Amino acid sequence: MSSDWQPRIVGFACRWCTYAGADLAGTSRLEYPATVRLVRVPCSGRVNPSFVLRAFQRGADGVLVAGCHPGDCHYTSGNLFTRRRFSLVKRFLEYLGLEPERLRVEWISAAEGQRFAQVIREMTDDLCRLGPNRKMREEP
Amino acid sequence: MRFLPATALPRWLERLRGDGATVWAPVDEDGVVVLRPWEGQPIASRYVNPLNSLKDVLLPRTETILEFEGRPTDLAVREPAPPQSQVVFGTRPCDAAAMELNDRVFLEGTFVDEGFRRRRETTTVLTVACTVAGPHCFCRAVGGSPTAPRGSDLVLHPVENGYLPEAPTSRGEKALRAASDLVEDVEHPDPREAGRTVAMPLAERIALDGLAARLRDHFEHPCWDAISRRCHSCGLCTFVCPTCYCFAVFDSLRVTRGRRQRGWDSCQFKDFLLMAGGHNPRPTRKHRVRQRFLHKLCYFPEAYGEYQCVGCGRCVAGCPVGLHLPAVVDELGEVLG
Amino acid sequence: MSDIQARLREIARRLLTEGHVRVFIGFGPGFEANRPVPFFAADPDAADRLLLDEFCAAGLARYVLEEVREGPVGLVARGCDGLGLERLLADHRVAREQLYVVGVSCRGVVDPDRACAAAGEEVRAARVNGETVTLITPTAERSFPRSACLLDKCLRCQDPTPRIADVLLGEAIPPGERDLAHVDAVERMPSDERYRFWARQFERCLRCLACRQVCPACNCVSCSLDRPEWLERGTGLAEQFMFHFTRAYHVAGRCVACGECERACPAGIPLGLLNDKFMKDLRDLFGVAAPHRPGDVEPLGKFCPDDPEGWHEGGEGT
Repeated sequence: MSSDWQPRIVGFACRWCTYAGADLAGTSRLEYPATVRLVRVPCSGRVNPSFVLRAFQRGADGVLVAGCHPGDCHYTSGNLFTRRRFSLVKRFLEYLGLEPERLRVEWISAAEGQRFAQVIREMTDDLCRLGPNRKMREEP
Repeated sequence: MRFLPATALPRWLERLRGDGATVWAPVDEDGVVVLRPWEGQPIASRYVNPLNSLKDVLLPRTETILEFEGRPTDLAVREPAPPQSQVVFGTRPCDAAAMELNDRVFLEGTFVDEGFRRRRETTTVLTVACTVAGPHCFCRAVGGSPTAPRGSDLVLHPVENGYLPEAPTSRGEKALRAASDLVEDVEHPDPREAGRTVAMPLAERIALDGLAARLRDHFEHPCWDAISRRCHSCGLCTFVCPTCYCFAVFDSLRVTRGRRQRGWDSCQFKDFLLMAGGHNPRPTRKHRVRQRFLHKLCYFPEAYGEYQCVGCGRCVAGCPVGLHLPAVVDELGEVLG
Repeated sequence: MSDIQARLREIARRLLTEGHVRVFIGFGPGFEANRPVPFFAADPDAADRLLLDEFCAAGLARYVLEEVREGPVGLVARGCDGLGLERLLADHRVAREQLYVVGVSCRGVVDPDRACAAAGEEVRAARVNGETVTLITPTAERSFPRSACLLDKCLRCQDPTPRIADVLLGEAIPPGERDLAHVDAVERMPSDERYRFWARQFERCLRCLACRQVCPACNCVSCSLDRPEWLERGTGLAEQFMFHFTRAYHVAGRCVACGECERACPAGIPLGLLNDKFMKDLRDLFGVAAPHRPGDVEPLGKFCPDDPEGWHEGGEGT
């Protein structure tokens, strides 16, 4: 692995909270590594667990699923389903052998630009330590 | 007669591997015996047949036919690298015979399947003859034998502490030459004879005489409704079968590049024949189950003069609802007389 | 069992004669005496061919899906069949009035291969009594522990009697609590080892879809696993992970632990270990006491405002 290797993170961001939070991080000129590719989704509840696996399959080193804090969902309860679903999915992917650091689920509101930048920094550090993901990844 | 001590086996296979061939051998994985590329791991000895047959080696579950890259107006297409030579150790006489049946489909006649031909010609089949038959075996009922050389390049007849090799082809003779210093000369009666005395109770219960013609006359017999009713339409029987060869062709695309692949398909899947527009010529279990058994017991014999079954017993052992060839032949025998 | 078998035939005959059901699903003689196969009695006389013994292995619930299309169906149901039927009912795939369920209590099904290995010769008959199983061979009658004779799915079963039955033959056996400790053993492996373990299992997968086809929870009209945009047809390891992840996740909270997938798998993939991981987490995180027994709403179709965040409590080896 070359020393300038940078992990690739696929981030699924809810358009009401986390995506706006990421915007805030940008307009506030907060610095964080350019390792995340955000995919805007209407709600964290939109994130089919297969999306996560597909991201790993096609070369992601880490995946972030992020949405509104419980109670703040634009659709009232979308993120409460997400919470149940991804509690199981994260544990299951670990059960299949994935390192826990590779998948993160976070609540990041539109006001939490700082939090968004911090999560990306933490994830990038963790993934740099782990190196490229080879598990569940398809042959190039 | 030549004798290869069992202790010399790994050394021999190691030499074959050293020649650049992929060596396949049966290994025990979590209690399931599977043919795997061999890299020195312990070779399974107590097995009737591995989960995957020779088909997995010669007609892989998925193989790339061509690769492409570029844009629709500027597309580079290339063929995958030609197959490397392979040696398969530990296959059984039934599986070896099954490949000759597949040869007839892929290599006879005006169209020769190049992918299959190239693999076939670079593969050496080292068969280990059977000294016992499993409870599901019935090779004798379909013209085979536990020691038959058909389809094998080399047959290794197990005897105490080793094998008596018999090389029906020059490819087999060549593989054996790699073991010339390991082989000894011994006196031994014809080991093929041992095949005659192997007890095979299941084979005695299967009567195939004249079945093909009777099936042809009873295409619409209501018995097919009853027989197929318990089928769950999975592809287990076809995928474990060494003689089933149906495949599908499909593309996988990755932005600017992709692969055209072929992989196993099963006539038992409900959308096997589903066409654009929604027409399905075999919409029900009855159609599909009848197709499978008529293909094996009627169409194939009409085209090639032999049944498309080698009696390996995998469908017998595998089908979760007991809808396997001996059972169907039995049920047909009852209704068609 | 023979007394119950006689009563079963009598009930089936009556149902068919009176036209209450169009077909009665049970077991009939198979090609081998110790492997009965699913049997569909369509007329009163066929009811006399129904049999019920310790070798009746296949699950029957899934057949209902096809059979009810043409009219009401009767069937014999053990505990696992009953849970499968509850699944189909909860999923609104069949209506209760389309079914006539003849319940029987099941003490476990004998695996003829396993029993043959234990007894050293072909087993003709068997009796399951508590912790031992008596195997009757042409030369002997001997007892063995359950684990040496029964199907894996039966060794873990805690639901011997169906909860829905229009009539129950014999005595009801109360349900127990499923032990999910076998999941712990995999959880305790280091993650790389765990990955190698599953990769080895999935590499054997032939993608024959037997696991899906026999499953009473896999009752969707069309399945994402048949759609190339969700699952490509290639059998590379990445697609095998996608397949097994998707299959297990789609039955998470809906699996009835009947064990048919694992029994049907020709490659010996421990599919129950995947299903049970979800069960264990549903139990531990969300307090679903017995996730395999269908309730009003399945656990992933609802939430509580104070659900825990399982990803914080997850992590290696817990």
